[in-house]
Amino acid sequence: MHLGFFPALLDKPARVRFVHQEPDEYIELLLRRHWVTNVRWVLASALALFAPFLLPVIDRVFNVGFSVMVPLEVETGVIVLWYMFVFASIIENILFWYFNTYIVTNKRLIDVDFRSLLYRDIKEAQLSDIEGISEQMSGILGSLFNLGDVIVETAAKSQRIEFLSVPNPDEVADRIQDLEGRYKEDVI
Amino acid sequence: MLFEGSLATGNIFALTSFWLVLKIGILALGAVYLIFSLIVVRQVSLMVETVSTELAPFIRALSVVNAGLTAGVIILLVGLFFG
Repeated sequence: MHLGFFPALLDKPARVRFVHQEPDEYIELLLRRHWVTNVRWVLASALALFAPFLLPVIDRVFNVGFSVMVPLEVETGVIVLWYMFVFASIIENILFWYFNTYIVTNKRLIDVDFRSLLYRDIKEAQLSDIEGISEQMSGILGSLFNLGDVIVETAAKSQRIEFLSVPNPDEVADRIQDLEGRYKEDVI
Repeated sequence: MLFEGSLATGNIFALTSFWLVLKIGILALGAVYLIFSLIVVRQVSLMVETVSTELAPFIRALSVVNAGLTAGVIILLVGLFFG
C-alpha cells in the first residue's frame, strides 16, 4: 500500500540510484518505514499549527489580557517564530522518513540511515553473506497495516541488517531469500 | 507624587526595555532558524547524493526556497519591529 509520491515499497524502481551503486547492479526493492509510522508527528504538527488560533480563545475565557499587554508586533513575531520552528520539525521528519531507506539489490542489502543533521550511516551486506532471515509482525498496527520488521543475520561486518516497520514484511523476506538463492546459483 | 512619577517612568522604561529585549531575542531565534535552513540545504544535498530519486530535484529546490523564505521573513520582522 503506498501513497502517491511517498511510497514505502518500490519494486524495481527505474529512476532511483544510490551512492556506490555498481554498473551491473540494479535495485530490486526500495523500502521505507510504513507511512503509518508518521501519523504521530503529523498529528502533533497539525496541533502545533492550530495552537496560535487558541490564544485569543484562552485570552477571552481566562481574561488574561494578553492581547492588551503584549504589543501587536511582538505577538506577530512570536507567532511567526512558532510557525518557523513547527515547519522545521515537519521538514526534518519528512526528510528523515523519505531518505532513511532500505535497499535490496541483485547483489546486496543496504541500510541507509540519516540519524541527525549531516550524519549518515550506511550498513551493507552481500547476498552471499546472508545466514538467516526472519520477519516479525506485532501489535495492532502491524496486523492492521501489514507492517513489520525483517531481520537479516549475516556473516558480514555489519552482522545484522534490520528493515524496521516496512510494509509486507513476509513478501520482503521471501524476495530476499529468492535473490539470495539466485545469487548463489549464479556464483556457483 | 514625585516618587510615584519616577516609579511610573521607571516602570515604562523597564517595560520598553523588556519588549526591546524580546524583539531582539525573536530576531536572534530567527537567525538560528536561518542557519538551520542553510544546514538543511546541505543536508538535502547529502541525502540526494546518497539516494537519488525522481523527487530529488524538487526536494532540493524546496530546501533552497525554504532558506530564501526564511531570510525574507527575518527582514520583514526587522521592518516590523524597528520600522
